[in-house]
Amino acid sequence: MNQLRSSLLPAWSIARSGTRLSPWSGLEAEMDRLFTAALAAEGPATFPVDVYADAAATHVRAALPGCRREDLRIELADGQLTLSVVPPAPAGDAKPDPTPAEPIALRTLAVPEDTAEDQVAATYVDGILTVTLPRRPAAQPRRIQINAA
Amino acid sequence: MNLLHSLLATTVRPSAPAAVRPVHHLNETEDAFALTVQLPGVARDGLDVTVEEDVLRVVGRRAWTPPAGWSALHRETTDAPFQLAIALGQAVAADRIAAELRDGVLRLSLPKAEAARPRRITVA
Repeated sequence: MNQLRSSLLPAWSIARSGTRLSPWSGLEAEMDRLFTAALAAEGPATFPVDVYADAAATHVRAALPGCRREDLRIELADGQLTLSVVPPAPAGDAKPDPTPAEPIALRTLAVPEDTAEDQVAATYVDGILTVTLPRRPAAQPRRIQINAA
Repeated sequence: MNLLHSLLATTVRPSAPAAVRPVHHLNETEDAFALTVQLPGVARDGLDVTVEEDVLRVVGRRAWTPPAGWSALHRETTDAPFQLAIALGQAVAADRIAAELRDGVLRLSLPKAEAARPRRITVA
């Protein structure tokens, strides 16, 4: 539904497509658009994320079409993976202490505790950012010898 | 702007229900319309852009499938193809449409037909 709602089409065309059957669908859609527009101005946008797992790793796939690779930020701290898009400050903003650039899109996800943080890898292909979070091998039980007294 | 509105208003709905309408933006300049369509996960092989009977159709199929052994823990996207159809009417010179797909964004330049361009009339 998000794809439909975020289109530029007037609300009645959404109603006509048959995905919303309520007689108030046009009004509801307009209200949604109003609130979405009003709330969107408050902070960074969000984007859809899929999470997969296999035997060795967790894989996060984020739909971020049209981004420059240098604007994509991937941060891992305290068991939280933060994906964001931070465009560079506008040219000419050459103050000695520029304010840090604000992200235009941001998502934070909890990652498994056993993530090997130093082996996280990422690719960006066809507008999809894929972050691979390998698991640390399971800790082997250690046998402790009892020394003779 | 009237032309822009008429373009949007005559947008044809996708025929297959198992498809999603991609996020798209349409801008107008004096010479052309610029259509930007967000198609995350669509490679060049999976993209079809056609103009037939004055209707521009964009179909983008997501080729990616999870490798063996991957199980989905959480999904927010769909595997359904993207579909967008826009009635161009006589406003666009269909033979001069240019398209570029990069990083999941399709940018289409739709040059205006000669008849649809603004014309300056010299006052004698």
